Amino acid sequence: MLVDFELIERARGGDEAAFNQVVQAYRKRILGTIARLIGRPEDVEDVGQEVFLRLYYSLEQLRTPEVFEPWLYRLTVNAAYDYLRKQKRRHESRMSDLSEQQVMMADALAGGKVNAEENRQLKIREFVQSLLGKISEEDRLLLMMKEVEGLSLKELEQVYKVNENALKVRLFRARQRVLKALELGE
Amino acid sequence: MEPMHGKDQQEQRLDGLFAAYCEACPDVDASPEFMPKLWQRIESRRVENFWIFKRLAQACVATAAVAIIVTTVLMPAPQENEALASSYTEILAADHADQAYVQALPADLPGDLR
Repeated sequence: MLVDFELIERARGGDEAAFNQVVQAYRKRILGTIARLIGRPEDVEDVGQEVFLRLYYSLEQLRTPEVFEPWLYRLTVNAAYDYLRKQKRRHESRMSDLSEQQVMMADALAGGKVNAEENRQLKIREFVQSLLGKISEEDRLLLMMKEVEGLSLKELEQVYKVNENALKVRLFRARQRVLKALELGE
Repeated sequence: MEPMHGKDQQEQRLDGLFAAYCEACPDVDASPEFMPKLWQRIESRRVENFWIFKRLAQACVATAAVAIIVTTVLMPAPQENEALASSYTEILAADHADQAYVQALPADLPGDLR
């Protein structure tokens, strides 16, 4: 836990200063998670604010401060899911969907301003994002939380409120779908 | 060492891809406007919720008023019913008006006991 239970209790009771402290403590971690989940750096802050906005209005429903972190992760996954769904709809209605960063990178590449390492990292991000774009948003987020964020099955159980065996099955199937997409892409 | 199966190779490749992706994602830190914007959104949601609640309350009041008016108009006016208008003893008296009552008390009772 990045904050103590007392601070969460105070935030739950409507103490705005305590809520500010909670946001500041978790902000970097949550923004990092969102960045990896959605893969669009320019929208990370917006989704992050949505997470903390939802936290503010749902904090009083939190049963105990002990479950705060899984609760926050759940809000993060839900906000990322909503974002990805919205993006998918937008993408379906619009053919070209280059992110702001991709456009900037393309411009910089054209101008020879990007170093090889940045270019390699961009390519990895694009490749993994395109791979994950071939599976459902639910599978994508679950897989990311496990493989990229490194959450254990126990933690995922708390986030998803699903038992371990069901999670294992879902993870296995999600992984199989990505592997299939990887094979087909070759 | 046994040669690796194609499937295992793919699995390892996928693990490698995830690890590389994690490294390739830059650290994101919030801009200075993060907190002010967050509070702005909280406030605007609060105002929005207030208006939603207000509209809902207004709609409930209007619906209740319409329901009262409709019920009042449609409810049949109470008809003059003698049985309801008068008391039980009055009805009994009216029913037995034609009967002659017998003196219940003996005639030879002393005057102060009558």
